[in-house]
Amino acid sequence: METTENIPPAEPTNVEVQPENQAAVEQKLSPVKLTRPLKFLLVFVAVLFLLLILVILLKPKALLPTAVVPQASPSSLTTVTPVPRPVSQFGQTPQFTQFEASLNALISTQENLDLTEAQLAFPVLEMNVNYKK
Amino acid sequence: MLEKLRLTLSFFLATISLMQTFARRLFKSFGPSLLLIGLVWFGATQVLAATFEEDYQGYLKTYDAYKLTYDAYVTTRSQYLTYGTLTSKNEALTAVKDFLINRDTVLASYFSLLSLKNTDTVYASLTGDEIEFLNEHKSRVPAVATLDDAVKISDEVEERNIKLQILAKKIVATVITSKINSLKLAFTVSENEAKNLVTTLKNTGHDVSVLERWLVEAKNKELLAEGKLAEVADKISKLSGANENSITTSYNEIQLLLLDANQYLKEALKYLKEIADTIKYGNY
Repeated sequence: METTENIPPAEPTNVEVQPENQAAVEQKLSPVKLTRPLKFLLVFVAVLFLLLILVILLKPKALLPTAVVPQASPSSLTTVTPVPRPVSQFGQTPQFTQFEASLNALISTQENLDLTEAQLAFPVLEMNVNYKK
Repeated sequence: MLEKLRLTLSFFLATISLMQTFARRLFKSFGPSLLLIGLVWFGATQVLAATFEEDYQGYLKTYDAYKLTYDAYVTTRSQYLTYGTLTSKNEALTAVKDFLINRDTVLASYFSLLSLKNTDTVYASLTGDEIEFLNEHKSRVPAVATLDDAVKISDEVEERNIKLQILAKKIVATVITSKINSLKLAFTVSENEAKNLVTTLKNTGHDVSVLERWLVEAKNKELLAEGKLAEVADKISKLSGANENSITTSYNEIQLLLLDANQYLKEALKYLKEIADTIKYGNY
């Protein structure tokens, strides 16, 4: 009975390539012969490519001016300015402009009206003078 | 100086009363001019405000001095009650006399401050009486020779405390009411100007039904404010209380009514603003 100890070792399989096919095989496996200068060029291009990616990541505005980058500062928030509306002819008359000015002054006065009069609060005073224990 | 200020304010109030009497006829022709007078009057009050600020700072200083004498009174009182020595008694007497003088000074200064803002003649007279009483009381304190006498003389002011508080609250409520009344008067002038503008537009053939509706709404708000102010006037005249808490409760009710009145005027002004914007941009 054959056991793992009795199994004869596998014979090495050597694939021998015929000399006439050697060149064809080499052509398939390596279409371009990588000479040293070519290798340096490839490495150089790869490094340039990596640098380009880094630059793009770190300074996007310079390279991609159309990119929208959100910022945390409130100054970058878009402010909506009202569209300027044309004033009517009647709205330009002295009668109306005088009315509008006095109305705006009145609204401002009303908004700043102090109804508390905190300065006139009655002072807190001791009103129980005695010498009883 | 106080008398002059009182007379100046009375003059301006009389001017405003005259304006109210001849409102319709005058507003039609001289509306903007009257509003200008009202604004000039308001400007005059700003000058008075500078004087008030100076007096207010003076009042605060008297209160700071009072607090020091109060601390001394409390300390010496505690020492006298603990040790009962003649020295502690004399120190207590000195301290309580200083305290009573400073308490009178604070109260007199406070009522002087109130009189600067007060425009009511009855309250002006009552305030003057109280200041006179406090000054006279203060002049008698140095002659006090015993702690019992000090307590008795202090009682004269303490018994008057509730009356002083009621008077003070009435004056403050009246001051705030006057502000809102001035605002209401200025609003009436603007309202009449708005009416004239709307009438002018109507006469030129424009559809002003929406503007007229807003004028009605503004008028309704004004009337509501007027109702609240009438209620305030009634409550001020009836302001009373047996103790500080009840007086404060009554005063808070008056404050709420004043806030309501102010809110109504604010809403009325919004309607006028809508009318102004509609006319300005030709949306009629």
